[in-house]
Amino acid sequence: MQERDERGATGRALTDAELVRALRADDPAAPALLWCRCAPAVGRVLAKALGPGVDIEDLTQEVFLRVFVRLPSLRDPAALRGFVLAVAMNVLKWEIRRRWVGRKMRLSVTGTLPDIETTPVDTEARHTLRRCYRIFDTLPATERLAFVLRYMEGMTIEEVASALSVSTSTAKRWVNRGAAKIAEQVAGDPDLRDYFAAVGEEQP
Amino acid sequence: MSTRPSDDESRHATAERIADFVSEQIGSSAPRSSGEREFVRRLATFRRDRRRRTRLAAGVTITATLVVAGWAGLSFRGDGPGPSVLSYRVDNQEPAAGGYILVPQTGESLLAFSDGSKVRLAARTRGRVVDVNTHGAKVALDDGTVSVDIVPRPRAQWIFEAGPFRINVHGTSFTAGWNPAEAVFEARLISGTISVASPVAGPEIHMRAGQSLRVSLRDQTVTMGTASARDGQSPTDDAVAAASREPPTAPAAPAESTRWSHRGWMATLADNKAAQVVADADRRGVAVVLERADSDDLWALANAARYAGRYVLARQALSAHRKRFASSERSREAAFLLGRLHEGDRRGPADALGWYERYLAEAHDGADVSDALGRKMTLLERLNRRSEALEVARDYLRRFPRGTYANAARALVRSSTATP
Repeated sequence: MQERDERGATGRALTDAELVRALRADDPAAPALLWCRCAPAVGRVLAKALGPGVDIEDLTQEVFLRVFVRLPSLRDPAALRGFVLAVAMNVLKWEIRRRWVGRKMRLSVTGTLPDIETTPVDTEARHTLRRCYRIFDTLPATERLAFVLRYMEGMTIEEVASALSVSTSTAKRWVNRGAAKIAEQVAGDPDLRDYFAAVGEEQP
Repeated sequence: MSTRPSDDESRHATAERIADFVSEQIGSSAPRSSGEREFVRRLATFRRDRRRRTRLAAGVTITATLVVAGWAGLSFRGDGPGPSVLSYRVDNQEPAAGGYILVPQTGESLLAFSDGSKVRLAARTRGRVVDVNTHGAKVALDDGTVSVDIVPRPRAQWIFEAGPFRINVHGTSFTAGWNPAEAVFEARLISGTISVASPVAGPEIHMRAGQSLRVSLRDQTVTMGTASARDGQSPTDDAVAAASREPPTAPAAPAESTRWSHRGWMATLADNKAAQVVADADRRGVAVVLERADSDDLWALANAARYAGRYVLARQALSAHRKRFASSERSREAAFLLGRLHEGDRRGPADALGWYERYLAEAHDGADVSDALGRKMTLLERLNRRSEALEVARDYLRRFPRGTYANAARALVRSSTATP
């Protein structure tokens, strides 16, 4: 999860436990160190879970403010990264539910997906990505997050369970249900089915 | 991706392909580098707001606590007693403002409390119900005798103050009397237990049923015994009896000499031999003593007569001292003592009031100014001269905010503001 090496006053990189202690002691440099260490991974998960057209930057800020608020409840300072990811998952759950309510209320957080900000290779890929997230939007937040963590972030079932603060059996059930629902919906969509069938044939 | 779902899980090839596709399309959406600065800025704002909220919450909490406490205090001090606070009536009527009670010369008064406890005040008794609360009441006995019958209750707390004496009661029947002129306290316990805090006897005196207690501040004596045939006779009765025993002013005995020979009565009185001083004066002839005795002996005689219950002689000696040694400090004090002596006689408050006013005029900062002012306030109230009493009460509170009569003065001021 470490994206950039940050160094404390001693010249060596702070461990997670040392960083937590610095945050609790109101060390003025600690918030920036926390951001550098954890923000890239958090931003990536948020982007994959929510799709294009979302202000990931703003949500990431929200995650880290919550991390700061809940830091006193962190018992094991060495578990900082897992703690940050768990907080991110909570923010994601609320965001997904908020978007779901928005769609139901026709407030369009986006009833239709906006133009993609990323750099798709072609129009067909852009169209496919949009349809994928339409499918993701039909999943419960827990199954959607479990799917993202397991299949897109490559986490083990134990890591997924830890991030979602549930048992491994529950995490496993959510992952399988999410994957099955997605596969089923893709199978029912001729365009997507053909597209991913072609992708599968290209793979060795 | 570095890892893949294990084989033992139900893999979905399509789901994997979708995941790969989405990951590839979304790519690395790491927050911009400016996000770090933005986060630090937001965190600083958040911390500042949180400190404000904490201070605001603390302020609101403190304010709410004070409001609730104030409300509770007002409720407790409200016009009508709360459901658990005792109430009382005097002779089946609402009590007077300030709780003052003055029993007429004939008959007696009955304080009936809502828990069934009763306090019977003998004729001419003066006192005040100082406080009534959920556990009992505090009654001050200025002069006279009370017969008390307290209903036992858990955590009951009844206090009777008789001059400098304090009786703690926990459910019992007893009589207590205080004669300020003689400085005599008496208590007779019929049932239960009481404890008496006395300025003479040191620690509290615990009394059991059937015991009697007599404390004389003048003689510095404490006498404990069993209740006897004297039961029912109050210290006030004793004082009246003592006054009645006082012989008429003796005719002047043949003068031994026109020159006064110092008798050393101050020393005799210091040995608690008041009766001996009075007897010596009688033997020599009261008129001669009043006319010729020096200041020390005359002053000693005045006090000895007070201690012995010879109030007429005491008044004569004090008046003589004021006349013959007018500029002395003792003569100023004599005015105060004359006020105290006149409070108990038939002409009553009017004469006493005059003496207190004279004392206050003469002794601006004397030792008894506080008492004289307090007594004056009480007498004015008894004479229904409320506006003057109120003026004295305010003066008293200004000069002696923690004095003996401060509570009574405050009650008077409060009652005046409550009355339209």
